[in-house]
Parts: sequence; C-alpha cells; structure tokens
Amino acid sequence: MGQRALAARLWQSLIVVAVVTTISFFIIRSAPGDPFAYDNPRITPAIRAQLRAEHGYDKPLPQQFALYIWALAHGDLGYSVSKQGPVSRSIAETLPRTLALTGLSLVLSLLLGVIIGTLQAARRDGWFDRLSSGFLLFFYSLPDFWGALMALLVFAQWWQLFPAGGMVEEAVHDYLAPWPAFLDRLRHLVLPVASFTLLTLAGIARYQRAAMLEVLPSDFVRTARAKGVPERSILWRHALRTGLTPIITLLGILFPALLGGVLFIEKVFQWPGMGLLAANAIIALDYDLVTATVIVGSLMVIVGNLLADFLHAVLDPRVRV
Amino acid sequence: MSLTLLTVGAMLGWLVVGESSVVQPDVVGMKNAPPSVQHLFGTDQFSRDVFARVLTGGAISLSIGLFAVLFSTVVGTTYGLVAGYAGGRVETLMMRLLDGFMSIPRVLLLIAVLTLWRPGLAGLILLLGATGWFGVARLVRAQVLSIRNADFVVAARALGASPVSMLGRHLLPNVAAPVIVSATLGVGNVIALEAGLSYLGIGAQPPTPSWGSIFLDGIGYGVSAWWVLLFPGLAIVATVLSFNILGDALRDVLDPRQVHVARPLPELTPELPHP
Repeated sequence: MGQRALAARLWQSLIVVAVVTTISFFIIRSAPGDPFAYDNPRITPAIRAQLRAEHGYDKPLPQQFALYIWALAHGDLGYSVSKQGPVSRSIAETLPRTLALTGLSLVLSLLLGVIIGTLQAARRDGWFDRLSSGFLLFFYSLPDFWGALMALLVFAQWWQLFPAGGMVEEAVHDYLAPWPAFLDRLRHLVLPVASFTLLTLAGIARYQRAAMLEVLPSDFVRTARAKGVPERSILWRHALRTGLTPIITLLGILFPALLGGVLFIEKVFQWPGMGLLAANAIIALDYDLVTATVIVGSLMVIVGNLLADFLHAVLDPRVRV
Repeated sequence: MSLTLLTVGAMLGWLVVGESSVVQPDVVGMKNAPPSVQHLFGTDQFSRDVFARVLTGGAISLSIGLFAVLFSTVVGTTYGLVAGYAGGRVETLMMRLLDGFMSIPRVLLLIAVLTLWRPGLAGLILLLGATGWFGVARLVRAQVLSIRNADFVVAARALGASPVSMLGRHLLPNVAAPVIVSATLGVGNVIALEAGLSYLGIGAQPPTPSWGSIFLDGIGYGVSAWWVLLFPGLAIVATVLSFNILGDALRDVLDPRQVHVARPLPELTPELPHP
C-alpha cells in the first residue's frame, strides 16, 4: 500500500468511527428513561433531578451530544452508574480479557480452519472431505450460546473435567504458587476457548475449501505441476498463498460476528470480559457504559478491518492499492 | 425435505398441541419431569410439556426468521440497487454510511435497543430485519457494478427507461440469484440470533415459547433438567442446518458460474458465520 492510499484508508476509517459514535450515542440516549429512573423508594424526585443534572441528563439531546463528544475528545468515556466509577476504568479492566479469549480462539481457528479447508480441497469428495464437511456444517449451524451451553453442561457439570466458569478459582487463586496458578488459569481457559474455536473454525474452513477449489484448477498450478514441483509443495506453498486472500477478506466480515459470539461465550462461562460487562451494563441501564462498549466494540471491528487490509496487501501483490 | 417437514411439523404441532404448551398439569408433582412416553421431551419447571412447547415455538421462531429476512432483503436489495446504479458521490456516501452500520456489532446494538425500548414481537422482527440488511446491500451493489455498463443496460437507458423501471425490470432480475441464496442462509442465521437474544432474556417474551425462550425455564437447573436445554436447541440446530443446506444447494443451482465448481464461491456468502 502506498503512502497516499494508506492515508486515504485511515481517513476513511476515521469517518466510519465518527458515524458509529454518532449512531450509538443517539440510539442509546434517545431511549425512553435514563440511568436514574430505577425503582428505589429512598430516592426522592429531588435527588433524581439532582443526579440527572449532575450527569447532564437534564439537557436537550444535541447539547448532551456536544458534551459527550467534548469529553470523548479528552479521553473521558463518561461515568458508570452501576460500577460507581469512570467507564474507562471498567473498559481497561475487561478489554484485555476479551482480547485474550478472542485472539487465542481466532488464531487457533484460523490455523485449524485453513489446514482443514486445504486438506478437504486437495482430496475433494474423498472420505476426509465428506466426513469433515458434515461435521463442520453441523458446528456452523450451532447457535454460539447453545454450543457453549452444551459444552458447559457436559464437560463441567455432568462430567466435571473443567471448572464451570470464571477466569480463576476465586477463593484460592491468590494463594497459589506461580505454576499451579498458571495451571488454574489454563484450566479456566480450556472450555471457553475450545467452544469458541470450534464455532468459528467451521465458517473459516468452509471458506478456505471453496477458495482452494477455485485456485487449484489455475494455470500456475498446472505449470508448477508440469515443472515437477512435488504435489505437497504445490498445495501448501503455491496454491495456498493465493487461496489465503479470500480468508483475509473474510476476516473483515468475521470481526463483528466474533464480537457478538464472544458476548455469548462470556455470558455462558461467566468470563469477566467486555462482553459480560456489556450484557450486565445493559441490564443495569448504565447508559454511558453501554455506549462505550458499543463504541469500543466497533473500534475493534474497524481496527481489525484495517489490519486485514494491510495483511491482504502484503500477501497479494495484485492488491497494492 | 427436512425443512418442509419442520415447517409442517411446526404448523401441525400448533394445531394439534395448541394450548397444551401453556397448560400446567401439576406444578408440584410434574415439575422438571424427565422424558417419558407421556412427555417425550420431559417437562419444564412449570410442568409444561417441552415437546408441545418445542412444536409451538417452531411456528414462532420460523415466522420471526422468515419475516425478518423478508424485511432485510427488501431493504438491502433496494439500497444496493440504488447505490450501485446512482454511482458517483451518492454511491460513495451511501457506501461509507453502510461501512459505519456494518462496524457496529449487531448483537450489542440489538441488545441495547431491545433492553432500552422493550418492543413487542413485531418490534423484535423489525429490529432483526433492520440490522440484517447490510450484507445484502453490499452484495447487490457489487452485482450492479458488474453489470452497470453492460450493453443491455446501456440500451435500455438509451431507449429512455425510467430509473424505476431500470432498477426493477432490468437490474433486479440479474441480482436475484445471489440474493435468494443469501436470504436462505439468513433465515437460519436470524433464528439462531433470536434464540441467543431470548437466552439473554430479551427475545420473544414468556409465556410465548420461541425456541430460545424455552431454554430460560431450564437454565437454572443445569444437568438436572438437561432435556429442557437439549431439545429446543436440537430443534434450532436442525432448522438452521436445513436452511444452510438449502442455501448451499440453491447456490449450486442458481449460479451459472458454478458449472464446474459444484461448491460455494467465497464472494457469494455475505453473512458469516454466526450472528
């Protein structure tokens, strides 16, 4: 990517960020009610009014928006009513956990998905292709939360191999030696990562198979074969390099879906990440926190798309836009 | 086919079982009874027959899926047609706006709106549709771009075809095939999504049994009432699977480019993978 193209792409992303921020703000703030409308007999109307005034909810919407943007420009994401603290602190605390869960699962499912898809395409309609395609279509059709729920039911409750949820064993974790503490973390990671990987992998492998099927009949593959390049090297070096580009485009579509998926996974396994934070914030009618999670979530999608574009340009010399 | 079977099952079930999905025979003695001959799928915490609820829920889940996708397909196709045909600044603006919409995680947005507004079933369908048309719009616009300067389009324009007839009579038929495929895949997607939202407690509201909301009555019991969690889930999986298989098959039939490659081409699957 040339420097001008790069600048243009970044500028585009910035506009998208602005659009997203505006949409999320107005959708959430124009909803009936506000964070201080909850039932509590001890809070008098006067106190409610004061709370509203304190957090700027008594002003007209456009003015609220101006205030919000002004604060945002200064790195202030607002005040979380349910967490009794700045929103940025809750986000900073939970975001890394979500990134760890999503990142690990994404890397695993990309790796496995690409390998499976390529193998399927290499021996099309062979026993491996048929068998794995069937399984993948099944996993592809599983709703995220249900797949996770079943994993939880079988491997944590019925057959108690793994802990049922959380990130660490709360009661003892702080007193464990480094190595057992690490194992404790690992044990809590297994079920969420495994279910998330399996659910994501299915889509990736399906794409990879289709992409490879399109690449394999190409002229350059035939040329390589005619030159006597070993079959294995044709598949994994020549064809795969071209066959990888659709997957990178797919990533762009995949990111929003991943973010939705991780919310359900976190909810089922009580993983204290941003998805669970968002789900709880919404129930608590914590407006600023909800707005912030939607914006940060969208930012992750936008950054992810940018990265996918760069990767695309690196891998595919035809796309040096 | 399995899909027809499911639909018929759901409809018949609704006629046959009707009220028994909300009947509570014996709240104390029959609470969370395991599957038996009388109650094939067991009963839930209110002693309601899970089998009856799954059948009834099918009608609701299926109609949510179908109507939401119908809505999003109409909106998305129109948007894509207009953007692709208009070209120039209008197109750029429309596509940037679309990028913005697409970057907002659908699930987060749905949860926020559903919780804050608490719309009814119709509202839920509308929202699912309103957040589901971006992929279709992009797909249609890409298709229009590829035929915008084709001879038959230029000819129609030269003959003085009005913009409406241009879009409706000349461009629409040429983008129909991928749209049908993506709509088919979309139905399964929406059903799964609605189930997820119900699981969070904001989908179809009890006592209306959608496949997702049946779960809620079993969630607190875990293994001790596994049948309440397993069977509605299997119904969802079977339905989504059927729609995915149907979508794949339709793509093989409808896409002329697929003569040699009997399997999906990457660009033609706009929505992936789970909601």
